[in-house]
Amino acid sequence: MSLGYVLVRSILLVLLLMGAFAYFMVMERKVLGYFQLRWGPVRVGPWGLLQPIADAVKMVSKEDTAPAGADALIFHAAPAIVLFVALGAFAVIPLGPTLHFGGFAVPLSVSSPPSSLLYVLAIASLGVYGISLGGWASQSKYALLGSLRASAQMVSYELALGLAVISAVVLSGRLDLPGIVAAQSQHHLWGVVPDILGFAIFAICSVAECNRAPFDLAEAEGELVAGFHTEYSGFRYANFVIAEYINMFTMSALGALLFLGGWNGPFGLGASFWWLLLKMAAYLFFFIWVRSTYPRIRYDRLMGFGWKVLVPAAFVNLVWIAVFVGLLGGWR
Amino acid sequence: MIAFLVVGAAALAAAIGVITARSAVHSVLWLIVHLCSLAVLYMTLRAQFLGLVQILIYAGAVMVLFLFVIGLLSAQQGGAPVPRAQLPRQVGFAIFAAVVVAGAVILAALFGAFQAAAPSLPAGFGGVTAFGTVLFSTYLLPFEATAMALLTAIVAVVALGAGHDEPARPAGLPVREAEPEAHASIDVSHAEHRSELAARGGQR
Amino acid sequence: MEKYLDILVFTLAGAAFPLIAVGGGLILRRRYPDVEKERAYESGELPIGDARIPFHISYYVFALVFLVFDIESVFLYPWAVIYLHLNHVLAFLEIVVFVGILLAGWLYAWKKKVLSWM
Repeated sequence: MSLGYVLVRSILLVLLLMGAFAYFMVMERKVLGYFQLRWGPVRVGPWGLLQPIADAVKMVSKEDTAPAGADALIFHAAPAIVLFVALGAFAVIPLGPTLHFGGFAVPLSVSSPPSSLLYVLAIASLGVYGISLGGWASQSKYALLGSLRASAQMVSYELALGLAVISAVVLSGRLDLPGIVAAQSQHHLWGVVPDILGFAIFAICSVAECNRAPFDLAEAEGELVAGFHTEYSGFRYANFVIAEYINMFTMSALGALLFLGGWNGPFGLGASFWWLLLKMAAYLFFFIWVRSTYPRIRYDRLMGFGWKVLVPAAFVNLVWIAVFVGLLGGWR
Repeated sequence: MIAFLVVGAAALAAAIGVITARSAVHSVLWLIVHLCSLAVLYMTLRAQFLGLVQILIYAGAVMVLFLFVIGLLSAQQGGAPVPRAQLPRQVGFAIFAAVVVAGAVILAALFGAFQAAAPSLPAGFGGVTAFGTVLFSTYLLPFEATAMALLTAIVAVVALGAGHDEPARPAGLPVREAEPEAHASIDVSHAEHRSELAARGGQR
Repeated sequence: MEKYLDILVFTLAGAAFPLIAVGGGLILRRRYPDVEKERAYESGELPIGDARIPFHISYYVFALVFLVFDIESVFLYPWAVIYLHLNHVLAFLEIVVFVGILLAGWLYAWKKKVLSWM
């Protein structure tokens, strides 16, 4: 595979990703608006559809300030770290089955290393640095508190997330994402059916890992102004937002691939990337739904919930799945 | 070979960054880069699983710990430069250690340690399946012993953390008591601000 | 290895887009530095002292507990993959002993109130 081919595919995917980010953001604001009995963005363009362009122009042209005492190197590196990590994790997500045009096969992921699931988790575990270092470098009390909270929270929920993912690995016996989807279609059983508890834990932890409400303690606007990115302005701030949304895409794709049968339709209705997009859209809608429904959780309860409820529940679930797979040992 | 040279140079540069950085947090940042380069080096040696675990554990978990330790111990001096005067005493030891390591490497090379890799590695070498198969059959006892080692670590953490549940203190506040100088600095900063404002008012 | 090179290409291409926006925006945006503007935002109050206060020890303790369990979860991945290739009952018992020992530690930590925030 030549470098040029990879580059072209990467650029196409990046453009797709940016478009998806821009319009998912409009969708989020619209949906949040309807949840709260208001309209959401309607002014820019028909039905507010040109809103992301206006936002982008505003972000690019906004003044780029840094607080006087900030640690220049880390302050400027942090948004780039966040973005690199988010893109690096997304790169191995297969967005559908390999397409065939004549004799030409086009895989729908940038790359598929042998242990892609472990790779996603490994890279995602680096996401905490962009946030913690960004907040630390700002030389601002709100930013430091936000980033401290975020790092402890992300680390705690990463554990339960990993354990929930392991239950899906036990079910399929594979550590690569296409293999996990193939195993589910081979058994005509989506992971979520035996592993409903694992899916629930995964869903909760994915919200917490993306620092989204009700787990958005890192940027609790009522008490910390904007948390770890208080001092960021202009496009540097936008980098944090873009990374957050790419992380949400990664998490929704992971949820669909691991637990919801990936790109296979229900009841043997064929395989197409449209199914995966549908499932991802439903998962993303869940993100917004949760955000508009639940109030922010208190920090000690957040940590207590993570360590005293999710972690033991994930262990119990793991044992149950191991028993399930062991008893039905012949089914694989 | 090219990958080895590039990544090896990156690892070396990051390692130099770790020891020359004037602020501890910069050192942590360089150490993360260094550990990730090492992970890539493992992968060039076809140790896929080890490389990913290196990122997951060392770069992803241990370095968070380092950040918290630095924040816990030396937040105030986080940006303060280390006095260079203390360093020359250690230079001698450093050169001695470097000579010993370089000598060992050269000796190893002379005795053929860096011959071309084994002609044919089994398929899936270094992957998760190969690793797991060996771990859960041949090395089962060391594996279970690891659990005991980790249990010891938890007990140590409990011993460390359990003494700190006496006074409920809001998150992130300084552990030590407020010093009288703090008030002095408040007054100074207010005074500064006032004079600043006064100067501006004068200009206008 | 080439597969990881592809990821690098994608990551660079993807990150180039917003980073160019940061750099290229320099032409579009104005820059009016100001003492007040560069002061850390504290809801209009003057910032007092250094923002980099020492962290509470709880963060450190939680990071340590996380580290222990993260190492444990790393051992669970190879086990999950080869579970059914081994003798099922034996493999199940192996991991139950492993996880059981660590859960004992986790219970101990809970009882000693290390897992309670503050």
